[in-house]
Amino acid sequence: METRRLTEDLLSESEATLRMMDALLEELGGTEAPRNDVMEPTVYLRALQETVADPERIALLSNAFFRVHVAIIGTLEALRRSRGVLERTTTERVQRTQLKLREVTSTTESAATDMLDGLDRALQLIDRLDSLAQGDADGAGRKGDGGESGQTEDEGARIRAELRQELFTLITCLQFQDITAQQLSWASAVLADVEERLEKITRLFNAGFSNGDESAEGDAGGGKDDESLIASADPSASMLDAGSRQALVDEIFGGGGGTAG
Amino acid sequence: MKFLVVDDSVTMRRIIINSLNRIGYTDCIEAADGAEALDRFDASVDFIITDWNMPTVGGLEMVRRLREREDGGRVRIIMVTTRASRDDIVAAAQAGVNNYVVKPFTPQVLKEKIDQVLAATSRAD
Repeated sequence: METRRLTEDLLSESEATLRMMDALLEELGGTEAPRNDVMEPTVYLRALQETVADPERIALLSNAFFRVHVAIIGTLEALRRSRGVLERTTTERVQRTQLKLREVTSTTESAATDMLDGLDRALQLIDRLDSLAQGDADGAGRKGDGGESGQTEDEGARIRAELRQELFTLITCLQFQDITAQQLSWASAVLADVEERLEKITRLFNAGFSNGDESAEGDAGGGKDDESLIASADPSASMLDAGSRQALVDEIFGGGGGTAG
Repeated sequence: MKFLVVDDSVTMRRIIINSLNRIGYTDCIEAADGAEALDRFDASVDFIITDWNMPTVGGLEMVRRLREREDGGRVRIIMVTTRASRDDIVAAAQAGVNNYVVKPFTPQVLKEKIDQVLAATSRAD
Protein backbone atom coordinates (compact mmCIF):
# COMPACT_ATOMS: atom_id res chain seq x y z
CA MET A 1 0.00 0.00 0.00
CA GLU A 2 2.78 2.37 1.01
CA THR A 3 4.73 1.63 -2.17
CA ARG A 4 1.63 2.34 -4.29
CA ARG A 5 0.99 5.64 -2.52
CA LEU A 6 4.63 6.68 -2.93
CA THR A 7 4.54 5.67 -6.58
CA GLU A 8 1.45 7.81 -7.21
CA ASP A 9 2.96 10.74 -5.31
CA LEU A 10 6.18 10.48 -7.26
CA LEU A 11 4.33 10.32 -10.56
CA SER A 12 2.22 13.40 -9.86
CA GLU A 13 5.21 15.36 -8.54
CA SER A 14 7.29 14.44 -11.59
CA GLU A 15 4.49 15.60 -13.89
CA ALA A 16 4.14 18.85 -11.97
CA THR A 17 7.90 19.43 -12.25
CA LEU A 18 7.88 18.79 -15.97
CA ARG A 19 4.97 21.20 -16.44
CA MET A 20 6.85 23.88 -14.47
CA MET A 21 10.01 23.36 -16.50
CA ASP A 22 7.95 23.66 -19.66
CA ALA A 23 6.35 26.87 -18.40
CA LEU A 24 9.75 28.24 -17.46
CA LEU A 25 11.16 27.56 -20.90
CA GLU A 26 8.17 29.29 -22.46
CA GLU A 27 8.66 32.26 -20.17
CA LEU A 28 12.33 32.41 -21.06
CA GLY A 29 11.94 31.94 -24.79
CA GLY A 30 8.68 33.78 -25.33
CA THR A 31 6.26 32.36 -27.89
CA GLU A 32 8.68 32.45 -30.81
CA ALA A 33 10.66 29.44 -29.62
CA PRO A 34 9.32 26.34 -31.35
CA ARG A 35 8.16 23.60 -28.88
CA ASN A 36 9.89 20.21 -28.75
CA ASP A 37 12.99 21.64 -30.48
CA VAL A 38 16.34 22.16 -28.82
CA MET A 39 16.85 25.90 -28.39
CA GLU A 40 19.81 27.31 -30.27
CA PRO A 41 22.41 28.79 -27.87
CA THR A 42 22.15 32.20 -29.53
CA VAL A 43 18.35 32.22 -29.22
CA TYR A 44 18.67 31.12 -25.63
CA LEU A 45 21.20 33.84 -24.86
CA ARG A 46 19.02 36.48 -26.53
CA ALA A 47 16.02 35.35 -24.48
CA LEU A 48 18.12 35.46 -21.33
CA GLN A 49 19.42 38.91 -22.21
CA GLU A 50 15.84 40.17 -22.73
CA THR A 51 14.74 38.62 -19.46
CA VAL A 52 17.62 40.18 -17.52
CA ALA A 53 16.87 43.56 -19.07
CA ASP A 54 13.24 43.44 -17.89
CA PRO A 55 12.89 43.68 -14.05
CA GLU A 56 9.32 42.26 -14.15
CA ARG A 57 10.51 39.20 -16.04
CA ILE A 58 13.46 38.81 -13.62
CA ALA A 59 11.00 38.65 -10.71
CA LEU A 60 8.91 36.12 -12.64
CA LEU A 61 12.00 34.04 -13.40
CA SER A 62 13.09 34.00 -9.78
CA ASN A 63 9.63 32.92 -8.73
CA ALA A 64 9.54 30.17 -11.35
CA PHE A 65 13.00 28.96 -10.30
CA PHE A 66 11.83 28.78 -6.71
CA ARG A 67 8.73 26.76 -7.66
CA VAL A 68 10.82 24.36 -9.74
CA HIS A 69 13.35 24.07 -6.94
CA VAL A 70 10.60 23.11 -4.48
CA ALA A 71 9.16 20.61 -6.93
CA ILE A 72 12.58 19.02 -7.58
CA ILE A 73 13.26 18.73 -3.86
CA GLY A 74 9.83 17.10 -3.42
CA THR A 75 10.51 14.68 -6.25
CA LEU A 76 13.93 13.76 -4.85
CA GLU A 77 12.37 13.18 -1.44
CA ALA A 78 9.69 10.93 -2.96
CA LEU A 79 12.43 9.05 -4.85
CA ARG A 80 14.40 8.63 -1.64
CA ARG A 81 11.32 7.23 0.11
CA SER A 82 10.58 4.87 -2.83
CA ARG A 83 14.15 3.63 -2.70
CA GLY A 84 13.80 3.09 1.06
CA VAL A 85 10.64 1.03 0.61
CA LEU A 86 12.24 -1.02 -2.15
CA GLU A 87 15.36 -1.57 -0.06
CA ARG A 88 13.43 -2.63 3.04
CA THR A 89 11.21 -5.07 1.17
CA THR A 90 13.83 -6.66 -1.04
CA THR A 91 17.21 -6.61 0.72
CA GLU A 92 16.35 -9.27 3.27
CA ARG A 93 14.79 -11.55 0.65
CA VAL A 94 17.69 -11.12 -1.74
CA GLN A 95 20.18 -11.93 1.03
CA ARG A 96 18.19 -15.04 1.93
CA THR A 97 18.11 -16.01 -1.73
CA GLN A 98 21.87 -15.64 -1.88
CA LEU A 99 22.19 -18.03 1.07
CA LYS A 100 19.83 -20.50 -0.63
CA LEU A 101 21.87 -20.38 -3.81
CA ARG A 102 25.01 -21.10 -1.80
CA GLU A 103 23.17 -24.03 -0.21
CA VAL A 104 22.32 -25.33 -3.70
CA THR A 105 26.04 -25.31 -4.50
CA SER A 106 26.97 -27.13 -1.31
CA THR A 107 24.07 -29.58 -1.70
CA THR A 108 25.07 -30.56 -5.22
CA GLU A 109 28.72 -30.84 -4.17
CA SER A 110 27.86 -32.99 -1.17
CA ALA A 111 25.55 -35.21 -3.26
CA ALA A 112 28.24 -35.59 -5.93
CA THR A 113 30.79 -36.57 -3.25
CA ASP A 114 28.38 -39.13 -1.74
CA MET A 115 27.72 -40.60 -5.17
CA LEU A 116 31.44 -40.76 -6.02
CA ASP A 117 32.12 -42.48 -2.69
CA GLY A 118 29.30 -44.94 -3.40
CA LEU A 119 30.63 -45.63 -6.89
CA ASP A 120 34.15 -46.22 -5.47
CA ARG A 121 32.76 -48.73 -2.99
CA ALA A 122 30.70 -50.39 -5.74
CA LEU A 123 33.81 -50.72 -7.94
CA GLN A 124 35.76 -52.24 -5.04
CA LEU A 125 32.97 -54.77 -4.52
CA ILE A 126 33.07 -55.67 -8.24
CA ASP A 127 36.86 -56.13 -7.94
CA ARG A 128 36.27 -58.49 -5.02
CA LEU A 129 33.70 -60.42 -7.07
CA ASP A 130 36.28 -60.69 -9.87
CA SER A 131 38.89 -61.98 -7.41
CA LEU A 132 36.44 -64.55 -6.12
CA ALA A 133 35.60 -65.67 -9.64
CA GLN A 134 39.32 -65.90 -10.45
CA GLY A 135 39.87 -67.95 -7.27
CA ASP A 136 37.01 -70.22 -8.31
CA ALA A 137 38.53 -70.72 -11.72
CA ASP A 138 41.95 -71.54 -10.18
CA GLY A 139 40.31 -73.88 -7.66
CA ALA A 140 38.41 -75.69 -10.41
CA GLY A 141 41.75 -76.20 -12.16
CA ARG A 142 43.19 -77.73 -8.97
CA LYS A 143 39.95 -79.75 -8.32
CA GLY A 144 39.29 -77.93 -5.01
CA ASP A 145 37.07 -79.52 -2.36
CA GLY A 146 33.33 -78.75 -1.95
CA GLY A 147 33.71 -76.94 1.41
CA GLU A 148 35.94 -74.25 -0.06
CA SER A 149 33.54 -73.76 -2.99
CA GLY A 150 30.61 -73.33 -0.59
CA GLN A 151 32.51 -70.62 1.31
CA THR A 152 33.21 -68.81 -1.94
CA GLU A 153 29.52 -68.91 -2.88
CA ASP A 154 28.53 -67.45 0.48
CA GLU A 155 31.13 -64.71 0.14
CA GLY A 156 29.91 -64.00 -3.40
CA ALA A 157 26.30 -63.72 -2.24
CA ARG A 158 27.33 -61.38 0.57
CA ILE A 159 29.27 -59.11 -1.79
CA ARG A 160 26.38 -59.01 -4.28
CA ALA A 161 23.99 -58.00 -1.49
CA GLU A 162 26.41 -55.26 -0.43
CA LEU A 163 26.71 -54.10 -4.02
CA ARG A 164 22.92 -54.00 -4.41
CA GLN A 165 22.68 -51.90 -1.24
CA GLU A 166 25.36 -49.49 -2.48
CA LEU A 167 23.54 -48.99 -5.77
CA PHE A 168 20.23 -48.48 -3.99
CA THR A 169 21.83 -45.88 -1.71
CA LEU A 170 23.02 -44.09 -4.86
CA ILE A 171 19.42 -43.92 -6.07
CA THR A 172 18.23 -42.36 -2.81
CA CYS A 173 21.11 -39.83 -3.00
CA LEU A 174 19.36 -38.41 -6.06
CA GLN A 175 16.78 -36.79 -3.78
CA PHE A 176 19.11 -33.79 -3.89
CA GLN A 177 17.57 -33.00 -7.31
CA ASP A 178 14.14 -32.39 -5.75
CA ILE A 179 15.59 -30.39 -2.84
CA THR A 180 17.70 -28.13 -5.06
CA ALA A 181 14.80 -27.72 -7.52
CA GLN A 182 12.68 -26.34 -4.67
CA GLN A 183 15.48 -24.05 -3.49
CA LEU A 184 15.99 -22.73 -7.02
CA SER A 185 12.24 -22.27 -7.57
CA TRP A 186 12.10 -20.13 -4.45
CA ALA A 187 15.14 -18.08 -5.51
CA SER A 188 13.63 -17.62 -8.95
CA ALA A 189 10.32 -16.44 -7.47
CA VAL A 190 12.16 -13.87 -5.30
CA LEU A 191 14.11 -12.56 -8.30
CA ALA A 192 10.89 -12.29 -10.32
CA ASP A 193 9.34 -10.29 -7.48
CA VAL A 194 12.33 -7.91 -7.28
CA GLU A 195 12.29 -7.52 -11.06
CA GLU A 196 8.60 -6.61 -10.92
CA ARG A 197 9.24 -3.96 -8.25
CA LEU A 198 12.10 -2.44 -10.23
CA GLU A 199 9.99 -2.48 -13.37
CA LYS A 200 7.26 -0.52 -11.59
CA ILE A 201 9.78 2.17 -10.68
CA THR A 202 11.17 2.24 -14.24
CA ARG A 203 7.64 2.58 -15.60
CA LEU A 204 7.15 5.50 -13.27
CA PHE A 205 10.01 7.36 -14.93
CA ASN A 206 8.87 6.33 -18.42
CA ALA A 207 5.29 7.41 -17.81
CA GLY A 208 6.06 11.08 -18.44
CA PHE A 209 7.75 10.39 -21.77
CA SER A 210 5.77 7.61 -23.42
CA ASN A 211 2.18 6.91 -24.32
CA GLY A 212 1.84 4.06 -21.81
CA ASP A 213 2.46 1.15 -24.18
CA GLU A 214 5.47 0.03 -22.18
CA SER A 215 3.48 -0.47 -19.00
CA ALA A 216 1.03 -2.70 -20.85
CA GLU A 217 3.97 -4.67 -22.20
CA GLY A 218 5.38 -4.99 -18.69
CA ASP A 219 2.16 -6.45 -17.35
CA ALA A 220 2.13 -9.18 -19.95
CA GLY A 221 4.78 -11.22 -18.07
CA GLY A 222 4.51 -14.90 -17.13
CA GLY A 223 2.36 -14.59 -14.00
CA LYS A 224 1.14 -18.17 -14.28
CA ASP A 225 4.69 -19.51 -14.42
CA ASP A 226 5.53 -17.51 -11.29
CA GLU A 227 2.55 -19.02 -9.47
CA SER A 228 3.63 -22.49 -10.48
CA LEU A 229 7.18 -21.74 -9.30
CA ILE A 230 5.95 -20.56 -5.91
CA ALA A 231 3.62 -23.55 -5.51
CA SER A 232 6.52 -25.96 -6.09
CA ALA A 233 9.00 -24.00 -3.98
CA ASP A 234 9.89 -24.39 -0.35
CA PRO A 235 12.25 -21.81 1.16
CA SER A 236 13.08 -24.22 3.98
CA ALA A 237 14.00 -27.11 1.65
CA SER A 238 17.36 -28.47 2.77
CA MET A 239 19.50 -31.58 2.75
CA LEU A 240 20.83 -30.61 6.18
CA ASP A 241 19.64 -31.95 9.55
CA ALA A 242 17.04 -34.29 8.09
CA GLY A 243 17.43 -36.46 11.21
CA SER A 244 16.54 -33.74 13.71
CA ARG A 245 13.63 -32.55 11.56
CA GLN A 246 12.31 -36.12 11.41
CA ALA A 247 12.65 -36.31 15.19
CA LEU A 248 10.23 -33.36 15.50
CA VAL A 249 7.75 -35.25 13.30
CA ASP A 250 8.05 -38.33 15.51
CA GLU A 251 7.46 -36.19 18.58
CA ILE A 252 4.24 -34.76 17.11
CA PHE A 253 2.98 -38.04 15.66
CA GLY A 254 4.07 -39.85 18.81
CA GLY A 255 6.14 -42.34 16.82
CA GLY A 256 2.87 -44.06 15.90
CA GLY A 257 0.89 -44.18 12.70
CA GLY A 258 -2.21 -42.19 13.69
CA THR A 259 -5.57 -43.13 12.27
CA ALA A 260 -7.22 -42.09 9.08
CA GLY A 261 -10.12 -39.67 9.01
CA MET B 1 -1.42 -53.45 -1.30
CA LYS B 2 -1.84 -50.67 -3.87
CA PHE B 3 0.09 -47.39 -3.53
CA LEU B 4 -0.58 -44.03 -5.14
CA VAL B 5 2.62 -41.92 -5.26
CA VAL B 6 2.02 -38.19 -5.72
CA ASP B 7 4.93 -35.80 -6.40
CA ASP B 8 5.58 -33.15 -9.05
CA SER B 9 9.21 -34.28 -9.29
CA VAL B 10 9.68 -37.25 -11.63
CA THR B 11 12.94 -38.07 -9.82
CA MET B 12 11.19 -38.23 -6.45
CA ARG B 13 8.38 -40.43 -7.82
CA ARG B 14 10.97 -42.84 -9.16
CA ILE B 15 12.92 -42.86 -5.89
CA ILE B 16 9.78 -43.47 -3.81
CA ILE B 17 8.49 -46.20 -6.12
CA ASN B 18 11.96 -47.77 -6.15
CA SER B 19 12.00 -47.72 -2.35
CA LEU B 20 8.51 -49.25 -2.19
CA ASN B 21 9.55 -51.99 -4.61
CA ARG B 22 12.60 -52.73 -2.45
CA ILE B 23 10.38 -52.99 0.62
CA GLY B 24 8.14 -55.40 -1.29
CA TYR B 25 5.27 -53.21 -2.50
CA THR B 26 5.19 -53.47 -6.27
CA ASP B 27 1.65 -52.32 -7.07
CA CYS B 28 2.16 -48.58 -7.52
CA ILE B 29 0.45 -45.91 -9.58
CA GLU B 30 1.57 -42.27 -9.74
CA ALA B 31 0.29 -38.72 -10.13
CA ALA B 32 2.16 -35.44 -10.80
CA ASP B 33 0.05 -33.22 -8.51
CA GLY B 34 -2.93 -33.18 -6.17
CA ALA B 35 -5.49 -32.64 -8.93
CA GLU B 36 -4.28 -35.67 -10.88
CA ALA B 37 -4.18 -37.71 -7.66
CA LEU B 38 -7.81 -36.85 -6.89
CA ASP B 39 -8.72 -38.02 -10.40
CA ARG B 40 -6.72 -41.22 -10.18
CA PHE B 41 -7.76 -42.18 -6.67
CA ASP B 42 -10.39 -44.88 -6.24
CA ALA B 43 -11.32 -47.43 -3.60
CA SER B 44 -8.66 -49.86 -4.85
CA VAL B 45 -5.88 -47.59 -3.52
CA ASP B 46 -4.77 -48.61 -0.01
CA PHE B 47 -1.96 -46.15 0.60
CA ILE B 48 -1.00 -42.69 -0.62
CA ILE B 49 2.52 -41.27 -0.41
CA THR B 50 2.29 -37.58 -1.22
CA ASP B 51 4.45 -34.47 -1.47
CA TRP B 52 3.19 -31.15 -0.05
CA ASN B 53 4.50 -28.42 -2.43
CA MET B 54 2.95 -29.05 -5.83
CA PRO B 55 1.35 -26.88 -8.50
CA THR B 56 -2.42 -26.83 -9.16
CA VAL B 57 -3.54 -28.67 -6.02
CA GLY B 58 -0.95 -29.07 -3.26
CA GLY B 59 -0.60 -32.12 -1.02
CA LEU B 60 -2.35 -30.65 2.02
CA GLU B 61 -5.36 -29.47 0.01
CA MET B 62 -5.52 -32.86 -1.71
CA VAL B 63 -5.62 -34.67 1.66
CA ARG B 64 -8.40 -32.36 2.91
CA ARG B 65 -10.49 -32.94 -0.22
CA LEU B 66 -9.85 -36.66 -0.11
CA ARG B 67 -10.91 -36.94 3.53
CA GLU B 68 -14.21 -35.24 2.64
CA ARG B 69 -14.92 -37.87 0.00
CA GLU B 70 -16.88 -40.96 0.88
CA ASP B 71 -14.22 -43.24 -0.62
CA GLY B 72 -11.27 -41.30 0.83
CA GLY B 73 -11.88 -41.49 4.55
CA ARG B 74 -10.00 -44.70 5.22
CA VAL B 75 -7.07 -44.58 2.82
CA ARG B 76 -3.71 -44.39 4.63
CA ILE B 77 -1.68 -41.32 3.82
CA ILE B 78 1.97 -40.45 4.44
CA MET B 79 3.19 -36.96 3.60
CA VAL B 80 6.79 -36.91 2.29
CA THR B 81 8.00 -33.32 2.15
CA THR B 82 10.80 -30.84 2.80
CA ARG B 83 8.49 -28.79 5.05
CA ALA B 84 9.38 -29.54 8.62
CA SER B 85 8.17 -26.74 10.86
CA ARG B 86 6.00 -27.63 13.84
CA ASP B 87 3.06 -25.70 12.34
CA ASP B 88 3.32 -27.58 9.06
CA ILE B 89 3.47 -30.98 10.74
CA VAL B 90 0.48 -30.16 12.96
CA ALA B 91 -1.48 -28.83 9.96
CA ALA B 92 -0.81 -32.07 8.09
CA ALA B 93 -1.93 -34.17 11.06
CA GLN B 94 -5.09 -32.09 11.39
CA ALA B 95 -5.83 -32.47 7.67
CA GLY B 96 -5.86 -36.24 8.12
CA VAL B 97 -2.36 -37.40 7.28
CA ASN B 98 -1.46 -40.65 9.08
CA ASN B 99 2.27 -40.02 9.23
CA TYR B 100 4.95 -37.72 7.94
CA VAL B 101 8.43 -38.19 6.47
CA VAL B 102 10.94 -35.37 6.01
CA LYS B 103 12.95 -35.22 2.78
CA PRO B 104 15.63 -36.35 2.25
CA PHE B 105 14.61 -39.70 3.69
CA THR B 106 16.14 -43.13 3.81
CA PRO B 107 14.15 -46.16 2.64
CA GLN B 108 14.39 -47.48 6.21
CA VAL B 109 12.49 -44.46 7.55
CA LEU B 110 9.82 -44.85 4.87
CA LYS B 111 9.41 -48.55 5.69
CA GLU B 112 9.22 -47.77 9.40
CA LYS B 113 6.45 -45.21 8.85
CA ILE B 114 4.48 -47.52 6.54
CA ASP B 115 4.69 -50.30 9.14
CA GLN B 116 3.59 -47.92 11.91
CA VAL B 117 0.60 -46.71 9.89
CA LEU B 118 -0.40 -50.25 8.97
CA ALA B 119 -0.16 -51.36 12.61
CA ALA B 120 -2.15 -48.35 13.87
CA THR B 121 -4.89 -48.60 11.24
CA SER B 122 -5.26 -52.35 11.70
CA ARG B 123 -5.67 -51.76 15.45
CA ALA B 124 -8.29 -49.12 14.68
CA ASP B 125 -10.15 -51.59 12.44
